[in-house]
Amino acid sequence: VSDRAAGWRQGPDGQWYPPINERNESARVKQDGLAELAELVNSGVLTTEIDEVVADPELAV
Amino acid sequence: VSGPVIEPGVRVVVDDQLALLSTLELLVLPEGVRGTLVTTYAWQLRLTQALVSGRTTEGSLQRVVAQAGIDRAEALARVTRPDPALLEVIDPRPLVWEVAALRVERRANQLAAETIAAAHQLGAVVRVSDGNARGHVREQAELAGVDFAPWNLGEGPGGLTPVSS
Repeated sequence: VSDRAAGWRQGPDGQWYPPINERNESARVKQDGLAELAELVNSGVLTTEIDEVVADPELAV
Repeated sequence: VSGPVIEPGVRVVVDDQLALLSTLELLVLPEGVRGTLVTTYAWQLRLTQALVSGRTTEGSLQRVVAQAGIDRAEALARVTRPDPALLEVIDPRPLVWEVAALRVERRANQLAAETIAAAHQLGAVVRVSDGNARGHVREQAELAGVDFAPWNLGEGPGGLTPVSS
C-alpha cells in the first residue's frame, strides 16, 4: 500500500487502480463494454433479474 | 441517453438502474438536464437488495458492476452512500402522507407511491430504464399525472459512456 498514492485501491483481481478520474485504462475498458451494458439495460434483462432476486410486490416494477 | 425533452432546471427522479449507472459514473445525461439525479428510498432498497444477494455474483447486475471496474462491495458502498454530486436519495419522511394516500386510495405499491410522491415534492419528471418503463409504476405515475418516460441508453456521445473518458 505504501507505494501507492492516496485514493488508489486494490481491485478484486489484485491490481491497483487509481482514482476514477485518472483511470484511463478503466475508461477504455468501460467503453469496450458499453454495447453489452446498454443491451442489458435496454432489453429488460436487468429488470427481470432484479425482480426475481428481490421478489417483493412492494418493490416490483 | 435519449428521451423526451426536459425543461431546463427541472429535477429528474430516476429508477434503480439509472441510479446505479450514475453512481458508477457510467451515465452521461442528456443535454439540458441540470442538477443531480434523484432517486427514492424504495428504488435504492430494491437495488441494494439485489446487490447483496448472492445470485448477483453471476448475473447481469454483476456484469454491469464489473464494467465499472469495481467489485460488489464498492458498488454497494456507492449505492448505499452515493456521492451527492452523482445521486441524491430523497428523504422519504416528508413524503409519508402522500405515499400513504396513494397506497390506500390507488392501491399503489411502495415503489410507485414513493416515485410519484417524490416527483410531486420536487416538481420533477420521472425517467426510467427501458426495462422499467412498463408495469405498475408506469400505470400509477400516469394516473397521477406524472411526466414518466424511459431513457433509452445509446452508445457513444450522448448515450451510455464513462464520464472520465
